Amino acid sequence: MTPIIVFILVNDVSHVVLLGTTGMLLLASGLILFVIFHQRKMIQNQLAIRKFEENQQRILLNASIASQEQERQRIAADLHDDAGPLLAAARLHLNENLFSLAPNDQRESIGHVKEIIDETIDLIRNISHRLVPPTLKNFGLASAASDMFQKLNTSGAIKASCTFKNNEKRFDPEKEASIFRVIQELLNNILKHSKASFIQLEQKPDEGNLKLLLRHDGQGLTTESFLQLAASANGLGLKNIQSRMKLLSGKINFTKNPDTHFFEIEMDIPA
Amino acid sequence: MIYNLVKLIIGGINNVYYPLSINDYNQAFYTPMELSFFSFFFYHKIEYPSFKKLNIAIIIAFWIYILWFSEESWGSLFDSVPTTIESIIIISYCILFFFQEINKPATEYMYSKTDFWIVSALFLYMSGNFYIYMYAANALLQEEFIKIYMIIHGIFYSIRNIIFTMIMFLPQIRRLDNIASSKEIQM
Repeated sequence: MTPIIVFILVNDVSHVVLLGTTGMLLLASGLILFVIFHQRKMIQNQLAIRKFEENQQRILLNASIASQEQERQRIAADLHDDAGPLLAAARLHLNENLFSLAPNDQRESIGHVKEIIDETIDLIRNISHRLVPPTLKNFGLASAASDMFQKLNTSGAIKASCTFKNNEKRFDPEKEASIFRVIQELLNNILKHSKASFIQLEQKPDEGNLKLLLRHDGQGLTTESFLQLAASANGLGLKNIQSRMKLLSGKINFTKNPDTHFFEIEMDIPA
Repeated sequence: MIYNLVKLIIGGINNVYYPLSINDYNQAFYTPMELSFFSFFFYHKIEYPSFKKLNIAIIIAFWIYILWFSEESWGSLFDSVPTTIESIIIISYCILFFFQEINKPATEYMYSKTDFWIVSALFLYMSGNFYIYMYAANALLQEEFIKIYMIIHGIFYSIRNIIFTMIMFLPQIRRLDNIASSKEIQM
């Protein structure tokens, strides 16, 4: 009897040990392999995200360079086509005045030169104002935005209104210029593409951040379509908005209000 | 390397004087010493603050238990209960270490790190020997079991030592890889 029990016991223990060890080994190797493959997958995902971000950065940088280049070309064209001929005309008048005209005609010629120089001064002032609006520089973002909306309103093409809670509050000049450019670009896009009949800019109450809400009744964008267009080769203006908001560490959301069916652009910028 | 040297010396002494029995403090305290050694390793590698406190508490509790156990089981064939507890503790630490590593934002592959291989070797060794440790105290008198014990323990002991040896060369392999990749860049 006893040898049979010992045999069964030995066999049982051996089987249990062998099966148990195999099971433990499979579990241990499975877990190690899972950890390795999971981490590989995570790293690959991270690399893909990094690559995507680098690509986005490159697109934004290219957009910024292209935008600078466009601005330079516009200034160059304005100076060359408008200021250049005016100054050349003034030079001609002066030449004639100094060398060939009779002293009686000189007064009339000097009057012409004065008119041309005044015109040139106006032109250069306009170019300068388009680069940095004087209201923005002197009175801040709220005044510059109000001024811009007022000009739009008086043009009669669209109803435009702008409400700021605190007109006197000033931000860092570079920040103000960037926010102003974003608003300007958004307005340009709305005027060009949306066929809206009204635009409304409103500062929402927030103690820390600057929260702005731009609303219009035309055809607009949602955040998804904004991102798609900004990633495409044509969306230079949208890319500029994206890069400026990134520089400001701000957020921008494009939504369609389900109640009013108006398109809304919400900007949240740290003060 | 230190661990292997200590293990070799203690194992040698035990095999010569007292093979397969707890009749010596040297043999009785080997398991808690081994656990303390690996707990020290995990104490530095696992960064959860609560783990560090738990680790110390477990070590103290284990030493107290060993003192009681060695008095109770003096002369028994194998310290199955302490080694099984030690296996469970170390397997849990290994799983916790892996859990911590997969939750970290990774910058390099895990298998290029020495820690990963040390923990994997320990994990395989403890998992593989878990069942034979559990049954050893009662079944080591049976010849059939001794054979199985020797084979399984030998295999996992060898695997662990092979991995530990490989770890010693891992920094050199990585250095060689770096040199090779920098040469490729220069070309």
